[in-house]
This record gives sequence, structure tokens and C-alpha cells, in this order.
Amino acid sequence: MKMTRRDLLSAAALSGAAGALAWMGRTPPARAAALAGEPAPHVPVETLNGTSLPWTWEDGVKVFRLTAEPVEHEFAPGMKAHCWGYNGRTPGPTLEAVEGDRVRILVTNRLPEPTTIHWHGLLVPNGMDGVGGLTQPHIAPGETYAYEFTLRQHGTFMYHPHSDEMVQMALGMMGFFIVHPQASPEPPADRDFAFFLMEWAVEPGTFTPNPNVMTDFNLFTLNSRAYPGTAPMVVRKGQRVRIRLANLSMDSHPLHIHGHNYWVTATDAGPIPPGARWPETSVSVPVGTTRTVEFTADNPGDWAFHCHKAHHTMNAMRHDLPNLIGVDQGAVRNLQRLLPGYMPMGKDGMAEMAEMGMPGPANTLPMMAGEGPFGPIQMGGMFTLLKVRENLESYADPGWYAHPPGTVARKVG
Amino acid sequence: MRAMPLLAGAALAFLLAGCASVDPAPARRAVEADVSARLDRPIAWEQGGPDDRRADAAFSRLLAGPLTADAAVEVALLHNPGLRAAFEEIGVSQADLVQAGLLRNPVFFASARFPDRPPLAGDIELAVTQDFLDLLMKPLQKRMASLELAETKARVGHEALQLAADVRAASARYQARLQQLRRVRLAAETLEAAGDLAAAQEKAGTLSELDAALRAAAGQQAAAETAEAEIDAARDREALNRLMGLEPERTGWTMAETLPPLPPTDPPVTALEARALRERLDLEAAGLRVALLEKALSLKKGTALLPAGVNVGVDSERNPDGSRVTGPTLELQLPLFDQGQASVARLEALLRQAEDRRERLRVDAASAVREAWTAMRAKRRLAETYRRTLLPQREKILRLSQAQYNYMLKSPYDLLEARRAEAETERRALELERDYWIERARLQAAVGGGLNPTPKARS
Ligand SMILES: [Cu+2]
Repeated sequence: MKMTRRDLLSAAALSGAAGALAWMGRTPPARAAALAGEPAPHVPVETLNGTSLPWTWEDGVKVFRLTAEPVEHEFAPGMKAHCWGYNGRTPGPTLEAVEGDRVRILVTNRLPEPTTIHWHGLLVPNGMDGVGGLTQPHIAPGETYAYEFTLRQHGTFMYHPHSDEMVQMALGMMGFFIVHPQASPEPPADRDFAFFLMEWAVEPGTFTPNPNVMTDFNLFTLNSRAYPGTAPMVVRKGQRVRIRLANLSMDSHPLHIHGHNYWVTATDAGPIPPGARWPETSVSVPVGTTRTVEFTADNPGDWAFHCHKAHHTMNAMRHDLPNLIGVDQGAVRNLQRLLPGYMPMGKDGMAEMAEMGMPGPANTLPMMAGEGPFGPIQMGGMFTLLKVRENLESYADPGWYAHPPGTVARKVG
Repeated sequence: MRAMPLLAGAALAFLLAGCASVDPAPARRAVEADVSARLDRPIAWEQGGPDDRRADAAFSRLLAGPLTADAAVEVALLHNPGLRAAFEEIGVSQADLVQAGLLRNPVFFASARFPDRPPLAGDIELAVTQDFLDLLMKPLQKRMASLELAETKARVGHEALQLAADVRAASARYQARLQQLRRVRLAAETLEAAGDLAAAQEKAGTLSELDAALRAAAGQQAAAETAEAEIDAARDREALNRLMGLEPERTGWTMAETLPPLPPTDPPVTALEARALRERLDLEAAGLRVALLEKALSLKKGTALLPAGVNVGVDSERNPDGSRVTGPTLELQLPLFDQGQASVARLEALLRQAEDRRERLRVDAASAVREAWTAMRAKRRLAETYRRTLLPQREKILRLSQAQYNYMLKSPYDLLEARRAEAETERRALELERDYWIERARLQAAVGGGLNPTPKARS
């Protein structure tokens, strides 16, 4: 089935969800065509700063093509790194299919070492489980393997290597595998966002994540992007919003939303029965799991959405620095003479560093950054915004929220 | 007595023929010119004449400005009392030369004898004798004395060149020390600043008393130890005061506080080795000593069978009868017992010894050239590595540390440590440059002058 953009637009008008997709105006035509071919309407997943993978029909099988390869990845403007990923990106493109689909994933290895792919949470024949050495040979560089199975569940799953996985995941190899339900008992979501949570060790001034680090990470990302490089969730007021969170890092991450509460609706083992769901403002995503939350975006404004471990919303920082809080460096003899250009910092907190704008090391994001309508936002890492607006003409960034008069905290003293 | 004028005339003719002055000035000026040419510096020693005012003025002018190594060399050559004493040996040798040209004084003999019975007229005898052998030997002795003077000149010249080399090395040492002292103090200040910062941290409650004490101790120790470096500088200064022979009231000089940049190139070692063997003044002196002993030996051998003394004279005797008898006399010491065998053997041994010493000096000289040259080249390579690579590296490290500090990725302690390491690298670089100049001075001494192409003037 081949559709033009005009066909797509008229088809999209048939369903609200697809309509929303159409006027986003940034969906790849191939993917739109694929989605339009779906028997059951569902909202396509928006992997912000990422993408979903187009597929082809071959004899009733949905065929996806993944290439494991080194990628040049930008974490945020001003910082690039030599990562590994799939199809030129980290996280790899999101695979989307529908419960009951027969899928074939052709995996080509263009890495310098063998790899495999494990389908985390999917119930597959043992030989499709992707554990190198255990259920299949490792895929040598240059080889292509086919994984083929029928999807017997729906939910939020992941794919990642199971061959030198410590290194390969530390370098960025992972992705979403979203299975939409055949006929959902759930109220449909209007917007469906997916964020992969990840942490990295990229020493200041270096260009390759260090897989040897186990605890002292210095870069925390949503879809492999660090604030201020993260795209905002732009939502029309009243839309039902679903956020899928997946974690393959070495820490759990409590993702906190401002201005709303969410219901935790699913894990990577499937939907939580409606009576067992619970409300949260921060949903902790443990290591090696996914969590799905839903809420209605009924509170207009620019709302922070971030991991609540404060160090995880900082960019590059060192954790063994001396504590200079309250330290009067004026008492230090010869300091300015010995170190021309030295600026004492840290006595009254660290925020001043964000404002100084002094040159830092190469390829390093300042610890805190972001400039808001009222001043520096002083954030980094796992931080982005939920922008809820009454009126939206597109899902492009609408700019800063215009507060109704009398609704902003004011200086009174 | 009629023979007397004849003898006197012969002696006078001899003296005039081999005339030598006791004035050492020409010999000293010759050494002066040679040393000046070898060092490529104009040098005027005090000679005890109107030129002395010129030398004194030069001396005062040199001491007034900040001294360079070359200026210090000039001061030392003008003023070092040890060298002045060495110069007096030229006067001694010059006098020896004159002495060698003088005939032994004739011997006058008179006797009066009186009979114990008449006729009572006394018998009076007058005689003048002159050692004839002395007369024969004179030219040979004079040649030996002039060899001796030449040897003295070479030795004194050598001493002056050694002094120049010592002064150059001492200047480099002192100049480097002054520069290094600043780095040593700076390095100590970085540790003191770290100590102060730790104290401020302790006051603010962010550092334990123990950790603050550790930092404070490191800072105080470094500050105290700068005193050691100051002692070294004082020692180096005194070494220069001694070499320049400065009286207490003239020790207030200052030194140019930076070592000169390394010369762009160094001469090849083979040329220098050959030059050392050809031109070193101590080798020349050793050669002259051999020539001297050869001469002495041949003299001894040639005269071994001659009588030890041949005294020829005129004897005039008045007999009691009033008649005068006048006639030549001859007096011979017969070489019956001492035929000079011992003296010859002694001279032969001395000659062999002098030859061996000259040989050892040749071997040592060539070896010293190679050694100093190799060390100088190695120090140059190291010093250049420091200048071209390590120092820029340290500056870069400090700059990059500062950039990391700006992003709160480095602490002030890290910056101070980077600054300390930079100062330490600078100190080491200066040490290597100093070593280069010291080895170069050694090489100059080993070659026997400057390293520039062969000196223009030779005595
Ligand atoms: Cu986190």
C-alpha cells in the first residue's frame, strides 16, 4: 500500500489520534504509511530526540532492519561522543508493532566486535532470546542474523545486546520495543512519549564513554540527551498523556513531574490491573525495567519533568571536590598573584558558576545550564519540560508560558 | 795588568751581543695578547705604568653595571690576586734570562810576600782570572733560560684561561641560582596558599583540623626550605667574589639575572679535539719543558769530559829584585772523579718524566674535550626539550586545569598544584641551561680558549 501525503491527511482526519500525528508535520512518510496500514488505530510513540524505525511487509511478516554500529552522538550542543548504537543513533530507533504481529528483525553487525540482541520482556522462543553463547552464536562483525517471532503481548519492552553487554550498553546500545494492543481496553492516550533513561561516564575533555565506571557517572540522559539538549513534551491542554520510561543504567531514577500527578499503569511485564494502579508524582524506575505512567495534562504552563536524584540533573561534575561552602578565600595569601585569572567560587553555593560563563574544558557541558524567562534554570542531565498550552498550532516548541496576571510568585520584601 | 782592558772588552762585547732587559712588560704583554685573542676579549693587566689607570677604569666600569659572564671574566682576569701572583713568575723568569746572559765576574787575585832577610823588597803578585768555560757556556744557558721564560708564559696563560673558564661556570651557576630562587619561592608560595586555603576551610567547618594541619605543615616546610636555596645563592656569589678577587668594599655588584639564551649551534667535537692538542697552553708548556730538558741533557753530555772549570787569567808578579813577571795562567779542574755520569742519568730521568707528563696531558686534554662536549650536547638536548616541550606542556596543563576549575571540575588545590609543578619544571629547565653553560665553560677550558675559530693572534 502506497500513500501520498494528501491521502495520509484525509485518512488521518478519520481518527483524532492520527489527526494529531498528521499536523505534527514531522513524522517520516514511511512510518506514517506503515501506521496508516494498521488495522487497529493507535497513537504512534514519540521518542523525543529519537525516532521510530520504518518496516516493510514481507509475506505477512513485519520486517525491521537494525544495524549495530559506532555512532557520533551529540548529548547536547557542545558535547559529542564516540558511542555505539543502532542505525546511526543512540538509543536505537524505536520498534513499534502490534500484538499478534509476526516480526522479523534483521540485525547486521558493523561493530568491531561480536554482538547479539536480547528482546527484554518479550516472550519469545528460547532460541530468539539473543543471549550470545547460550541461545545463539555471537553475531560476528559483518554478519547479519534474523530474529523472528510472533508478538503475544503488548506493552513497553526494550532491546539491547547480550554480548559484551557491559561495554555495549555503556556505550549506548539500547532501544524501545513498543507493542501496541490489538484492541485496547484502556482509554486511548492522545500523546505517547518514550524516554530511555541512561547514565554515562564521559570524563571532562574526553570523547568516549568509559565502560569501566560502575558508580561515579557524570552524565545522565533522557533518550541519550542531556539538558539543555533535551526536547520538551509539547501538549495541548486536556490531552491524555502517556509516558513510557525504560532504564538500562546502573541506578534507579525517580522521574518526577510538576503540576500533575500520574497513574502508574504498566511495567515491562504488561499493564497493571486497573484496581492495582497507584498515583505518583515521582515514579521510580528500577534498573532493567520499564514503567508507564499516564495523566491528563490539565494544568497549563511550563512544567519541569526530571529525575529527582539531584546529582542526576547536573551535567559534568566531580564528586570528590573539597567543600568550599562558607570558605573565605580572601584570607589566602598570593592566590591572585599565583593564579592570574583565578576567580574564587563556591563560598556561597555553586549557582554563581552557571552565571560566570567562563571557558570550560573541551567537549564538556557546564554542570548547570539553561536560561529561562526569569533567569538561569541551573539544571542539566535528566531534565526536560512538559509544556501544556490551551491553544497549539503545532507541537513545535511554543516558547515560554505566558502566565495569567497575578499568578506568578512576586517579590514582597 | 795590561791584559785587564782586553778581558773587560771581551766581556762587554759578549754582553752587548746577548743583551736582555730585566723588564718583564714585553713578555707579559705577549701573554696578555694571546689570552685576549683566545678569549676574544680585550684584556689589559696592570703593568705598573700609565696603562694601569686604564685597567683600573675598565675594572670599575665593569663592576658598576649588572655583570654578565663575560664581564665577570674580565674582572677576574684584571683583579684575581692568584693570577697576578702567577704573572710575577714571568718577572722571575725574565730576570733568570738576564742572569743567564751575565758573565761570571772575573776573579782578582793579589798576594804580597815578604822575605825574612834582605833584600827586603816584597814579592807582590796580582792576577785576574776568568772562568773560560762560563764564557763558552753562555749562549747555551741563555737559550735554556729563554725556553724557561716561554714555558712560564705558557703556564701563566693557561692559568688565566682556566680562571676564565671557572668564572664562566661560576657566573652561570649564580645567574641560574637567582632565577631558580624565584621559582623555588613561587613553588613554596603555592604550598603556603594551599595551607591558607585549608585554614579557611577549617574555619568554615569544611575541613578537619588534621587535614588542615597536613596542608599547613607542607606550606610551612616549603617556606622554611627556601632558606636552603638562599644559602646556595650566597655560596655561589662568594665563589664569584673569590674568583674576581674582590675586596670587601667592592662586593656590592649585581648580576644580570637571566642566563643568556643557548647559542644556536655548537662546534663539532673532532675539530675541538685537534685544536686542544694543537693550542692548549699547558701542552705547549709541557713541550717546552721537554725541549728544555733535552737541551740541558745534551749540554751535560757535550761537556761531560771537559774540565769542570777552566780558569784563564793573567798573573803579574813582581819579584823581590824588582823585576815584574807577567804571564797567562791556566787553572783546570780535572774530571777524574766526577765525570758527570750522575747528572746525566738524572737529566735523562727528568726528560723521560717530562715526556710522560706531556703524553698524559695530551690524553687527558683530548678526553676532557670529548667529555665536556658530550655532556654539553646532552644538556643542550635536555634543556631544549624542557623549553620546547615540557614548559609549554606545563603552561597548557595549568590553562586546562583552570578551564576545568571554571566548570567546578578541579579544586583551587589542583590549580595551585599545577602552578607548583610549572614552577618546578621552570626550575629544572634553568638547571639544565645552567649545566649547559657549565659544560661549555669546561669545554672552553679543555680546548684552551674560546670555542670560536682559531685565535687570531698568538704570541
Ligand atoms: Cu536519576
